[in-house]
Amino acid sequence: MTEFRVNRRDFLRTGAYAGGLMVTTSFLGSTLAAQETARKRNSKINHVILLYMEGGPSQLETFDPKPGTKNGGPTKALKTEVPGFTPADSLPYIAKRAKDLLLIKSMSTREGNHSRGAYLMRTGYAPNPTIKHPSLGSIVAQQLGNPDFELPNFVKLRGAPFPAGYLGVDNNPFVINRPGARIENLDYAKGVDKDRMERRMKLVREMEKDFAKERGEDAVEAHRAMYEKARRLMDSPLRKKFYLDDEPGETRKAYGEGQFADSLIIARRLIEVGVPAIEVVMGGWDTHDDNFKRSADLCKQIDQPWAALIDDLKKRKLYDSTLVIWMGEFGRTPRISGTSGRDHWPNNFCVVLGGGGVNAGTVIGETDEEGAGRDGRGNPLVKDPVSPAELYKTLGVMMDWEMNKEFQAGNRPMWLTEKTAKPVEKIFK
Amino acid sequence: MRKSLMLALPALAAIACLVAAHFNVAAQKKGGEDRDTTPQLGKDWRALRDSMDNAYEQLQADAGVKPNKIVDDSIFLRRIYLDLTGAPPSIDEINAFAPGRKDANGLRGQAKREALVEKLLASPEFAQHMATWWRVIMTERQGDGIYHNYLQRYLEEALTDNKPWNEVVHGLIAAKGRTPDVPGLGFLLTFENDRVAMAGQTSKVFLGRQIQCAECHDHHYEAWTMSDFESYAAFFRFFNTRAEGDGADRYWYSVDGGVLSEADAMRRLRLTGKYKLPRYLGEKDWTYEKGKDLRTSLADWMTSADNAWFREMTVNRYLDYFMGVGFVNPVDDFNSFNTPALPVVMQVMGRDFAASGFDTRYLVRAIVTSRMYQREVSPNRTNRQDRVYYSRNFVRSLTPEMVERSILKVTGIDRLNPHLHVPDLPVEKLSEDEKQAKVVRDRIAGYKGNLRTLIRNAFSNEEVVKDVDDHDGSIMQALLFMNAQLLPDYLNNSLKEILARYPGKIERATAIFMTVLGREPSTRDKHILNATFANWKGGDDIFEDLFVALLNTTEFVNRQ
Repeated sequence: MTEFRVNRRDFLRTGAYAGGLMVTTSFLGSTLAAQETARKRNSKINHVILLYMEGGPSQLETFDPKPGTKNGGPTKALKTEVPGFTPADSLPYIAKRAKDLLLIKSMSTREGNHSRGAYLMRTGYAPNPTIKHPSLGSIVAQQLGNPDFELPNFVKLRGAPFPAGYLGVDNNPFVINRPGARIENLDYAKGVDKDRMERRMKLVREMEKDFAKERGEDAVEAHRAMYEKARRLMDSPLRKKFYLDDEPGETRKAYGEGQFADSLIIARRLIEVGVPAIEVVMGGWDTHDDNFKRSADLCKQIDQPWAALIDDLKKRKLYDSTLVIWMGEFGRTPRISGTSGRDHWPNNFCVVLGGGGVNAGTVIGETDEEGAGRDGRGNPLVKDPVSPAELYKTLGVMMDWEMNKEFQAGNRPMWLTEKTAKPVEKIFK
Repeated sequence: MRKSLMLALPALAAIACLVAAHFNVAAQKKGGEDRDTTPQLGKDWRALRDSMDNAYEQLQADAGVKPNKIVDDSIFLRRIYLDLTGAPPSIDEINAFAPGRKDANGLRGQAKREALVEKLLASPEFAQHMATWWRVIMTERQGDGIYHNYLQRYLEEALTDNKPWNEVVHGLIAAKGRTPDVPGLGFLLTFENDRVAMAGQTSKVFLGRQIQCAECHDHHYEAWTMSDFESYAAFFRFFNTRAEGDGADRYWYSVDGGVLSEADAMRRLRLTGKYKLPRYLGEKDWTYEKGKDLRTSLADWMTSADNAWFREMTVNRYLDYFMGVGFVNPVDDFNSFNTPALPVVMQVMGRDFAASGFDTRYLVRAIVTSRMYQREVSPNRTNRQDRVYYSRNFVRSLTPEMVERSILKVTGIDRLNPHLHVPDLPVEKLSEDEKQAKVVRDRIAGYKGNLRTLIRNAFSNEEVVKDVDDHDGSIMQALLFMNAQLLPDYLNNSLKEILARYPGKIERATAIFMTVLGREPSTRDKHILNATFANWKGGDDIFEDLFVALLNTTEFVNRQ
């Protein structure tokens, strides 16, 4: 505990406290930010798109089907160019891109509860009431993003907000609840144009001069910085990238229809102009009943758009600099329940990666028709199990995150990934 | 490493003497005459307050820290309204307090402020706001809204009746029965039977001990081991909640499975896996008490007057809330590297609070009528770094819940659109008046629901206990304040009311200023208003601009 630590926020504070040091926090902020971004990353990955399947997709109805076995149900498997990569028959488009993808069949955790499992998969850490870990998008925004960018560095299409915790509000997700529709509060209110807004803001600045001078310089600085960013976003020509109005009909046709398709087009539009982190959330995978039909429907909704995204990114020469990750919070029980459903099963489930730096055309892990249980000591029986901590360490290595850097979360030292976890080298070598 | 602590060390001996003298811990053992003049613990909140003030002023003098001045009436009024009710004072409330003057009862200065504090403590707004504050601390905004509503109701009733705080918490930890009869069950329901989370959260919120790390590994720098965690979590081991019924008839109930004997508990604990026998955190093993289930035993121990952690955590939390910093910061993380700056004051305050019968209003009175609470926020040359001696108060961001209460109050939505009775009938069976009333009622509900969603999204990142120096906000907050329709034209609102009530432009501007910011404009504020409105010709747009501009100021979302 004798080591001297300083993070940006602490530094700002120390600076602000050191009376007589007449440097504004925003000046310090941008200088430090510039120093932070000046670090050269040894990675060609500049963007991450996380396709998050909420509810826990069945591995048996997506990427690890077992047709003709006791637990297999009616789901059939498709043959592909890659041995072991045999997706369900409701994923024909993705099956044709097997060589562009890497499949992990042996993702394994102990969290069979939705919110705990989702937290673990989104952050690489188990939930803990004493600390809020940032999710993947926030880490990417902080590590890969430019703090002065006029668009948010992390855009989340649907789903609940997930605070960036100790990485600070700048790396929070900007959540779009209805992709494609007008974004709430992003447009000027009725009867207000740029001039009128400017009049209002001039009034604000006048009215709070005293408050700034006498009482709340730090608060006013922070407040102004947030408003400046918000107004830059409101007036930015890049705003149109949130919408689909000027997207050519043929691209839209390639991605197909539905909210997931629209979300993926928006994701591509945003990374094209430099947004580093996108999360697309799709719900409905908690198939406790009627699993087979529901899973097949859901697969159909993701299949064509996801394949189109791969093609589109390749065409635009963005696939090598973009990492696309497909995951959910857990898998589903091999045993079929009385309601033709499958329940929660964290022991073994699938994660798919594609794009920049990924050792595509590879399959990690193997399961038998019983699924994999655990041995007497609670260790997963699946071959080559991958834990969330290992997955995040791998992503960190691939993107060259500052994994040895000590961040401060309140009074505690924190690292972007678990210190002791090892990367899964097969994923990128 | 902690500079604040280093500042404090030389003065520790002095404070120990002072505080002890004021509460006369030593003198209580003396003869009869002294006893009458000596304040006894838990009997007199003014004695607690004065001893804190005197002790800290002595410490400030010893450390060469000059305390700030006491705030004027205007700043005090807004501060106390925000802190105790979650929203700024209205024009009428400002006028009733008569800042800088005698009020209607002929009071001024400290006496007038104490009278206001009494009035606010007795108001429903106080119970609502403090219940919300506690609910958010307990649930961290996680979990289902239905559970939150039960918990909110439980806390509001308890705070309205000023129920002893140890009983309130006991009722949450040991809640038994079914909703809606037992609304306190709402707290444990939010964990959805995640017993590990129950253990982590109850020890953190009520005892200030963060043991959750020890769920997976022995704590890195504390003495907590996995065994400590498991044996504390074991108190919740037999506890379960279940639900029955659908829709409005849905209810939840607790299932505990009573314990017959120690051997019985042991046997059943073993059956559930590798779990240990329950042990009170950092203390002795649980032993069987006839007729008591595990959670009741835990609640008894946790909320007992002998449990220093419980009383000191509560005192620390209230002090942090009103002063911006607690004895220990972060407020709920007591550990061997994060020790109280001045343990003696905390210990005495904790004992005094317990002796008062865990009377939270007693504690609040002592804090908010003190000189240390009433100090200005702007630092002087000597106290910029003071986080220990309470020589100043702080500018603090409002919580999202306070922002919501503030917007609803300053726009006047509830006050100006009274809820009329609408029979629960299909629309075609309603009279014309009832149809009108229903339209208004639905619009208010829609406005509030929308506002809550917008605030929830925009403030989703907010920490439950935000550091006093943390003023960061997200762009979603700025977008909300700039572009959302916070002054709905489809409802009566305070801007419409002001325009109808005041003809003169300066009068109108002043009324808008007082309504939104909850204080009278200063000389400089008046100057700006005059300059802005002197050239104004016609049109009411500019009043809306002023209203919205004031909502967008840093001051609106902060208390000072």
